Amino acid sequence: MRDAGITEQHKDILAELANIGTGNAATALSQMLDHEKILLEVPEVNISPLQHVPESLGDPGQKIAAIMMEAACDELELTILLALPLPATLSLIDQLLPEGLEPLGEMGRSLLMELGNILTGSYLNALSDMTGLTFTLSPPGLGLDMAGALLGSVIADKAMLEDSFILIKTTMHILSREVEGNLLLLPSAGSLHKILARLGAQ
Amino acid sequence: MGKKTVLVVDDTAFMRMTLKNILEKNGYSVIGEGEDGLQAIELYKELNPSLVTMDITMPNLDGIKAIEEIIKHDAGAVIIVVSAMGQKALVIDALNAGAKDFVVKPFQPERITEALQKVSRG
Repeated sequence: MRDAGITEQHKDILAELANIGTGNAATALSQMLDHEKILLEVPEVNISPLQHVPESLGDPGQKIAAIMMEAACDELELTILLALPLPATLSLIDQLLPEGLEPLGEMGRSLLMELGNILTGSYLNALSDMTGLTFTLSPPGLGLDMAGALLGSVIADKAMLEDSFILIKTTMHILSREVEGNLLLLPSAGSLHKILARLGAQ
Repeated sequence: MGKKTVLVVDDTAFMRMTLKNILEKNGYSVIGEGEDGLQAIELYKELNPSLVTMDITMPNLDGIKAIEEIIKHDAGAVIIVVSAMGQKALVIDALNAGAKDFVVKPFQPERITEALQKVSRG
């Protein structure tokens, strides 16, 4: 057993969720990029104590782009945060934008949020299929800052989070670039075990 | 025959630009753009477009509630949903609210024009 009663079976179930969500995300990205071949490596899933969030991506001083949304259904709520390394992400956004538009201009930021919306939707659709729950999603919020500061402020702003969070990490190979994608699932208090129970945990 | 007029509703400027480009290349005239459900209702009443593309997840008022309000105002409104939220129950909710079709993001441009042609004929 791990913190918060997390077992190996729970981790297996979440790994399956991550595999399906990542497959959906790869398909979505490929469609977004006009059927460009996208390779997403097998995701790594970890459940860690909440206080480890700020350093969960490694170097807390690295600059990231984070797209955050709140998902909710009748039974539970969770915060979903997609964190991408800033330099590789801006380079990708630059390539996707029509010529003459700045990656950090209004349209670039909007594209980044839409990318976050679509990738997050891919995982949430997998979670919905596997749990039978229907989630609503808040509009995305975008943050650009150092990983430690940005992630630290997210958990400081949330009053009632579970003691543990889920991190799904994968490397995306897109348009000759390697982009590390990190999806943090931060369930509200009491929601983690409801998700696991819905996913079939004993 | 004049061009069909379209109201595009999505909270992200990039998606509105993408949809507008696809629609105008295919002979439609985008006469309005809304950023949320409230703007969608106001713009629909003001502009009376032939067709609407509607996102679901938006601030202030979501797309499904906006569809319900638009249909109350005009039972013949022709609305297609364009959303990343492809969960079955949400698709059913959107169709029950009065949407004529549901396109899951991301999409190929042809999927949008096919949906609009299908509902226009319908």
